[in-house]
Amino acid sequence: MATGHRGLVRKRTFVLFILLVAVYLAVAGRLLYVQVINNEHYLMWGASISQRQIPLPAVRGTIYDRDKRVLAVSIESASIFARRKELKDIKFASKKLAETLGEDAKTIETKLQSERDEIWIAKRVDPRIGRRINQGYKTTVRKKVGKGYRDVEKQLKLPGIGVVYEAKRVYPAGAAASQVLGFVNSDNVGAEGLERVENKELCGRDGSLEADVDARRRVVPEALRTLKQPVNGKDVVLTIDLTIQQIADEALRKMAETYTPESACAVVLDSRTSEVLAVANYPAFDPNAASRNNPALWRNRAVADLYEPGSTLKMVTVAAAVNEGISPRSIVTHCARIESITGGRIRCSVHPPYMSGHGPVDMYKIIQHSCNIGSAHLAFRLGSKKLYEYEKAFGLIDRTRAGFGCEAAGYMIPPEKWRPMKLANIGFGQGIAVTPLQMAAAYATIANGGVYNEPQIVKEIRDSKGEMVKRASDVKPRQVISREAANEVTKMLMLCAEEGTGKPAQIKDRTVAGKTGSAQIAKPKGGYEPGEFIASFIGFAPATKPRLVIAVVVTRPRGSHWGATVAAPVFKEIGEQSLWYLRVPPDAPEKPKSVPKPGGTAKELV
Amino acid sequence: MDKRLLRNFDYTLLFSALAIVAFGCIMIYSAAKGGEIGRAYVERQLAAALIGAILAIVVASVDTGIVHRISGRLYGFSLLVLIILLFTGDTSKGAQRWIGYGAFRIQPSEFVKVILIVALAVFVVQRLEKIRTPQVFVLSFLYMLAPILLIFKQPDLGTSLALFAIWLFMMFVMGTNLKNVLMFLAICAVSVVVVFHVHGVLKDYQKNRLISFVDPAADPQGSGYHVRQSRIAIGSGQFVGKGYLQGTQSKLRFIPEQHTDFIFTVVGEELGFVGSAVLVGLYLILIMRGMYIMSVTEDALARAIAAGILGMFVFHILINVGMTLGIMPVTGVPLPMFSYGGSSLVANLVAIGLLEGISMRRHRIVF
Repeated sequence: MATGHRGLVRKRTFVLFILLVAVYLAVAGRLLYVQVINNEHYLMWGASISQRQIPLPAVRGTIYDRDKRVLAVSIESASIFARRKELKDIKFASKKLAETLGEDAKTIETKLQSERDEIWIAKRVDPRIGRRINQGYKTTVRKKVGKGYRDVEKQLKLPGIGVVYEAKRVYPAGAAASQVLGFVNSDNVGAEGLERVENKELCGRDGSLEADVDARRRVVPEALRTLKQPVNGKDVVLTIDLTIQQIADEALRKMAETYTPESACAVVLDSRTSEVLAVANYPAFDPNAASRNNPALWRNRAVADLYEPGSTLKMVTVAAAVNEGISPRSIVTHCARIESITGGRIRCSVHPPYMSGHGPVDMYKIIQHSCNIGSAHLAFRLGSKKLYEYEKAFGLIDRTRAGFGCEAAGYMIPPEKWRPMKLANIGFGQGIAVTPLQMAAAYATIANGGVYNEPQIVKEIRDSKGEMVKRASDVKPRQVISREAANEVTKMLMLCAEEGTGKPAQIKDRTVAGKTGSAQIAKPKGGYEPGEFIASFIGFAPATKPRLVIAVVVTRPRGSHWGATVAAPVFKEIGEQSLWYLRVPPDAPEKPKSVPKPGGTAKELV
Repeated sequence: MDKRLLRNFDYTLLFSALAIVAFGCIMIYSAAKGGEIGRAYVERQLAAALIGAILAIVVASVDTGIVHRISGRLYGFSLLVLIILLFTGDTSKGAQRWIGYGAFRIQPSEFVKVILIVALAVFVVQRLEKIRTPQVFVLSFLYMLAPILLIFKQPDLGTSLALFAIWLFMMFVMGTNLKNVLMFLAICAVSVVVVFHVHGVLKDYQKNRLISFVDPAADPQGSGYHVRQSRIAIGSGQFVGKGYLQGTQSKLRFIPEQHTDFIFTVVGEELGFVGSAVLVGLYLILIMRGMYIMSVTEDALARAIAAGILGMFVFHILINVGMTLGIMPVTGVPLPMFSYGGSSLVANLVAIGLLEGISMRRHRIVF
């Protein structure tokens, strides 16, 4: 062999040696990189694949009414999704999905052709649909048989289509008390109402199972790591009575058919405890489809919105005066329709037979005929400080703590700044803003013998085993006026309902005590909106042994603005049906003389 | 056997080979999840090692010179076996690679590899004067093309690529013109493009493996899955590993074929960087000894055979380790003498025997 060849071979061998060393260094470097330098990355990557945290979601608590009727409950639901990259036959998949979901195949096909990697096909549907999709569908598969191919029918899952099961919140009572209940967002977290306020109690604590899984993401039985049991959410029992709630909703709806107000609300309290039995808001919304509603409808106006109470507040002025020892039957003043005082003039709206003023008025007459001038004089006698103290004691200044979560505090300028005109105005319910709930609680004080109870909406909270864990904390009851004074005021309010402006509120077989209100709507920058009113009626029944306080507030009704015409019939409707439903014994078996037709020709007003 | 021959017996080569086999058995036991199954695997592997060792001694004792006369018959025999295999072979995972009955089955292409090294070496050496010409280069290529195509048809991409590597390695060492090599590589590049765009040349899974090498995220549950999972397993081993029999990534069936083609992942995960480095180091010793033998032997045929064997080892080791580390495509080649598999082990030990024979007869003994 030629030596030249040998030299070449030597050279080639050397080149190979160098090449090999280089390649070897590359491999060693890579090994070092993967195992030592960048190991965290692979370690975590591996753990994320071989370990799986299986969430064990807690079941959200149920919201009940006072009789354990379900208002909000979580049920199982299935959501169907697609992973675009794993999809095979889009036509076939959309056809089968459409059959199962009962939807249009074209719509689903369009969804599947989306650019996104993960596509939601259906959210929160019947879990049986999810199970059906997971079963798979008959598919023809080409299978090799011997040398040739044959089509074989096989039950196959749709590739790229998956199902997740998650809880879905449903509100079986529909729109009833929807503003009270609120709703949950897409993550099952309370977004509005009590769902939001009590979210901490309701949501419970999700558990998890952290486990090793094999290549098919199945849990390896002997390698269980940590199990954190989920703690189901607590149940919230409300003071709401679903039947009364529905009565109130229906009464508002019927009123709205005639008077088409911008909004309206009704609050029903148990007068003995101030527990909230119903909060109706018009217009209503369906929490089962909350996101499709106008967010303005979510607002619980009965507790969150302030309004000028108008004449209904005269009750407080009168109650304060009685409690301060002013004789109820003594003449307060002589009402001549218009009276000039320091800083302006105050006037009464008058109706036959009192076209030139109410004449000499005592407290009964003030309430019965809703005399502004009389109320103003009582306010003068009490003075700013006293009147303010009573307003506060009746719960009209401070924020209520009923547990709704969005309650507003009353608005009034401090008494030191009241001029005589302001004092007079506040005496008959102007220049002060309160919530319907506050007014209802103030009237409940009269019904309850002068003792103010803080209204409350949450009756109790029970854990998932049904053990009571918490009774809603309540503010201590307080004696605002004496029992005697309260009885006296009740009599005045009864007179108002029997012979005064409140006649349309009368209830069959039961006595009623209450007061109308027709307040103008204050503009944000002072003055009042012409022609716009808030019509209200607040009262309780039966008057002799009170059980229910009902406050009805109607904002911007059309056709009439009088509390007597618009709001009092709603009171009557709610009171009559609720008292009958509660089996409250009648206290006035004989029919009251005459019941004027609601919406008709009530003569004595304001 | 002539006692004088033992003077040049390469003990380092022998011990590194034996160490690799022993290490392999230990890891096969772990890869098979230990216990009865693990023991059964190891027993079969040891039996194959014994057969391989005997054959290696036989091969080492015989002067390679005798193949001059029988190379044609060896080549013909190889083709015949491969052709028979195409019609009768057992299918395992969609490839016709096996022949035999029941528990005793062999994978002829493993032996064919070694036989073809010898045959090709004779073919090349007979044309040594014209080695630099393109004619010899092309002729030798065609000589190998027939078995390559037959193996490719099984289909066994890994082994056919190994034969390419053997041929190229041998041609390079034996002194073909570099222009030939460069031209060949250029043609290869062009044909790869053609292959990918002409339907039916590569099976879908073969294409997928090559694609997934380029982009492992393209097909997470398919071939890219292998690449990712094995990298994760090796990476999670860190410096000293999770401990023998303690690997989870490979035990939980994340990695298929962990006792054969992907056994390196078990080493990486359980014994960490240290274990992997030891194994890779053993191979380095083996290859370096092989290169030494190749460079010192005075016989052209022996050098050609040594070059072919080295080419085979280097290709297998680099492709196998490289694919588990994600720097080479998944081609399904075993780790020589380490992966579970009797045919491969026997064939590789025979190759070691050949190298030892060459080492012992490095000086042309003039009788």
